[in-house]
Amino acid sequence: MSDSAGATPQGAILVAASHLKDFTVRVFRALGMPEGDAGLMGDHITWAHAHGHAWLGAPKIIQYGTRIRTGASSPIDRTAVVSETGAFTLLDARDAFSQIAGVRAMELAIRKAGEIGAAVSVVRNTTSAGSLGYFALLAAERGMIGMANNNAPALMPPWGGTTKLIGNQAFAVASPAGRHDPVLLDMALSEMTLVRYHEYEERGEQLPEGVALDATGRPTTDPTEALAGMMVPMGGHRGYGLAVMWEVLTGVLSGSLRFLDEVTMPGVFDRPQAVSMFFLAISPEMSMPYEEFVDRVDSLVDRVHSSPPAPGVERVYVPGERSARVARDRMRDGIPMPPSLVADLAGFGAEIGVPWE
Amino acid sequence: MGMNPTVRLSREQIRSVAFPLLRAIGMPPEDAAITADAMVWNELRGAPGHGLGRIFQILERSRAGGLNLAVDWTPLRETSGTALLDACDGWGVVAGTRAMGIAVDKARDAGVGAVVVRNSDVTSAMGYYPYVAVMAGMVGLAITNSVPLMPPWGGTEVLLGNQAFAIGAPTRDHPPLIFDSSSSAYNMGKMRSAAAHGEKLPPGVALDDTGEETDDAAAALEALRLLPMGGHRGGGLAIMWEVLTGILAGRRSTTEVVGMQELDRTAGVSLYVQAVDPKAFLSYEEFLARVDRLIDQIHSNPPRSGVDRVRVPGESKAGFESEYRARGVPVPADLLERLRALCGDFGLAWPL
Repeated sequence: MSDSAGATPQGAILVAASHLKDFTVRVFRALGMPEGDAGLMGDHITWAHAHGHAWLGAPKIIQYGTRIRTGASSPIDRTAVVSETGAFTLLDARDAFSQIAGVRAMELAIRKAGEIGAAVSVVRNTTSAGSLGYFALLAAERGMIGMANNNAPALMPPWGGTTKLIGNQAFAVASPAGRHDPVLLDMALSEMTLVRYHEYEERGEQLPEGVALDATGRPTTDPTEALAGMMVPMGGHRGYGLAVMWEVLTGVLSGSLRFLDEVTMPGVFDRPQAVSMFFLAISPEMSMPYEEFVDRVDSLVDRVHSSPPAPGVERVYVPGERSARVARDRMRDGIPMPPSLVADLAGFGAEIGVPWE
Repeated sequence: MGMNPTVRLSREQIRSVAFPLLRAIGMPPEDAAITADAMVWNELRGAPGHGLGRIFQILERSRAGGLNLAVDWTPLRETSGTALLDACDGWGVVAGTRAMGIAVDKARDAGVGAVVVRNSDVTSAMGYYPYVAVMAGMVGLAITNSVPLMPPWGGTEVLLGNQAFAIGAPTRDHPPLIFDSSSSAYNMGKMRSAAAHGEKLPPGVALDDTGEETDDAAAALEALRLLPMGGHRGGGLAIMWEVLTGILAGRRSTTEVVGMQELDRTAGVSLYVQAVDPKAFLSYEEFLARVDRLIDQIHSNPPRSGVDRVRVPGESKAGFESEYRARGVPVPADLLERLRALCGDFGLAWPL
């Protein structure tokens, strides 16, 4: 299912980006979501799939749609501001999707950063964040450095531990550039994600060393054991430390009733997920004119590009560069999807009276 | 290590050695107090590399011209939530501490305060800056760039520092939660120790001078081309941290930053520090209880075999602190002799 390399798998169906977005909008409209918010769902899911995060793209239409149908998530955005000061806002999403509440929160951080230089929004009671890069990029597109974090359901033990306690905490940082595309780091804090374990399992291959634990906390290279087990933080104890501190910035700071291992997976349909998110926007004008800042970012990008590549490396990229290129091609030429996914989407659409075509 | 005799000193004794010497070297009183306090804190946390020994570095760098001791710390630009500080080649600990102090003041009113610093000397241990925020009841974040030590991911020539960063949160029943890390897979101290003991490096730690990965610690130290923690992810982090420090601070960045060994050259380091006031979000008591609950849940996780117990980030340093507060900090006797001689040079009475 992964396609982050941008290759079109054999037998894939090319779906126009506009079609994927339109179908997503029609699905969520049919499930009771107002048009503008359904547009945000369509935009996010299409962005994620086009950028190579296939597992956060079209398949989520079915999962999120099912959350609405079971009452686990709300189609109506009743996100409310709980408290605010000049540079910060706390929002309660009241089970609205992160694709909607997260955009509202980042917009507020961007607006306040425009007034005061740097601002934070924290959201509680929302859903899995999808592509964090989408939110960070909202800030970069408005001339600001943006950061977005969430607390994921428990997928890793603490360092040295044996029981799942903490999420692999996806986060993203984006910066505007001048001549170049925005620089966008979009990552999770685990060495490998669930979708990759699935891929190894499907191919019948063993995992590399050091990326997974079995259910008892012992290292494993068996993807089936890994799927029943736990993830390993990237960079060992450093990644673990970051995961703990991201939990402080999200679940702890949001005041959510549930945090840490009480956050549930998006595929658990009998209750809200209770995800928390943290957004930061920084205006470069806190220290210099905007034009000067983006010139400086451009020179950093140029320096990275002119780095002599290691043996076997074609060229040195900045974060987000390759996925932005993949996305551009896909927005123009269509997004490759396995026929089984298209059939599942069409099947789900049929159940709720939304034709795929 | 065990061969070198040590003397146990109290916090007050460490400070009584540091402060007058820093004043005699030429630091103004407030800056000397900040520097001495940070040295005490680092000594207490088992990080003597950031402790009393740095007095010689301050002396040598200021005499050679790399470090400026007379800095006007008025911010260059300010809003009610942010500030830009020019450290004018001043000592990094003073720059970082003052920057976090400003961020905390801003956060009291605005909820969040962010400060960028340009033209700083080396920043020493990053954990101290979030600690400044933690002491004010806030969550603190501090990021720095450094002399280039890492190639960008996939490259072979150094471009980025090892980009140390630290995050801290206050607690009620536990020691403050302070995470302090570099963005490289291995820090320099571990690398030197591996070289000294003839140990092989684990995979993914360093390149040799031909740009190939190496497990030879001596060759890695010679080449000084570190690899990022977590591979391409840490490589990406190092670039974004450069944007928030060297790029955003508006002066020197990447290869323009100079290492502390070059005594007569200013370092040109940048910092980004941020304070977030949890009282803007929820009651302070509730926040502390939540952080404590996070720590308790980590502590109650069953350890894997070979691990005595599961710790939170920074806990081993906090362990030193509780022991050293009670029994004093072991300071090498030869270091104290050198400090005593320095006091003599300045005509100061030896305070111990």
